[in-house]
Amino acid sequence: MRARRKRTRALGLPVLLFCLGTAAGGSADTQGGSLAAEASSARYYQVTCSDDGSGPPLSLVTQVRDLAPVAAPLLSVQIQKGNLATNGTDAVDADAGFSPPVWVNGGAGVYDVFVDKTASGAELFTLSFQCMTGADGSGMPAGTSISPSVPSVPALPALAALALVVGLIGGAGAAHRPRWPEPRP
Amino acid sequence: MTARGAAIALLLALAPAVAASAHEVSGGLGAAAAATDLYQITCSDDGSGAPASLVVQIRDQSPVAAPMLSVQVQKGLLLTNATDPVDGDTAFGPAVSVNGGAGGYDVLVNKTDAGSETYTLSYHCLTGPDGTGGHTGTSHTVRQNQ
Repeated sequence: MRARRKRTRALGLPVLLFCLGTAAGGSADTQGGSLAAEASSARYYQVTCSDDGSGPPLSLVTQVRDLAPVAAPLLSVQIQKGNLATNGTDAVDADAGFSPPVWVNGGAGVYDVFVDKTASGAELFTLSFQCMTGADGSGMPAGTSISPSVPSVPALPALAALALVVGLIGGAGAAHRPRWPEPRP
Repeated sequence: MTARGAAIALLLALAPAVAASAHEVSGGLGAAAAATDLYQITCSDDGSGAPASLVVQIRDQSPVAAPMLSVQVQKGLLLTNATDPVDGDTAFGPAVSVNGGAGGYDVLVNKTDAGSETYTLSYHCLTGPDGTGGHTGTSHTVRQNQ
C-alpha cells in the first residue's frame, strides 16, 4: 500500500485549498476522492494520529463534503478504532459546507475511516481529517497522516498552481493557525 | 409415538432451520445523528465448510423517520456499504458481502440524520464468495451500542 502524506497545514496551502474549493475548516488535512456508481461503493482510509511535537493525540475528527455535481446519494463518513465508532453525513450536496464534525477519542494510532453513500450514482467528495490533542476534537492539531491516498479531485490546476506560488510567497512567516474543526452551526 | 414424542421430534426437525434463520439482531440508534452501533461478526467452520464471505442486510423499521439507515462491513482492506431505501416496510435493504474468509468482521450500523431509529440486522457467513454457497458458522458480539 502506498502511503501518501498530504499536509495542508504548510504555509500558503490554505490559499491553495480555498482555490481548489475544498474550503477545509482551518488547518485540517483534506483528501479528495470519488465513489463509483454502484450503491455499495465505499472508500477505506487509515488515518494515523501521532505526536509531532504538538502533544499526544487524543482524538480524530473528520468531516465529509459532497461535491458537485448534485446527485441523489447522501455522502457519509465513519470513523472506527477499537470498540469506538461514529458517523457523519453531509446533508446538502454541492454546497460549500462539510458535514458536521464527528470524532472518536481513540488516542494515538491508526483509525479506520470510511466514506460511502446511500444510493447508486457516482459522487465526488472531500474528506477533512485532523488528529487533535484534546478529547472530542478539541485542543491543538497533532500529527496526522492518511493512507492510502486517492487521486485528488481535479479542479483548476493552473489557478491552484498560481495560488500555491502566491501563498508560499505571501504566507512566509505566517504564524496564525485557525481553529479547527469549524464550530457547529 | 406419543403426542409428547411427536412434539419433540417436530422441534428437533425444525431446529436447524431456526438456527439458519436466526442470524438477525434487532437494535436501536439514539437520536444523535452520529449514533453508531458496532458489531463484530465472526465467521467459522461449524462443520458446514470453511467460510468465504459474510453477507449482511439492514432493515429500517417503523416508526417512519427522516434518517436512512446504512450498514458497513469491513475486514482487512475490504469494505462495503448498503442502505435501506424505504423506512417502515417489511423489506431489507440490498444484500452486500465481503469475501474475507474466516475470522472477525467489523459491522457498523448508522443513519444519515438526527432522530431515533430501530432496525434489524441480518448477517450470515457463507462458504462461497459474494454471499454464495452454504451457511456456515456465524456469531456476533456487540462492541458499541449507541
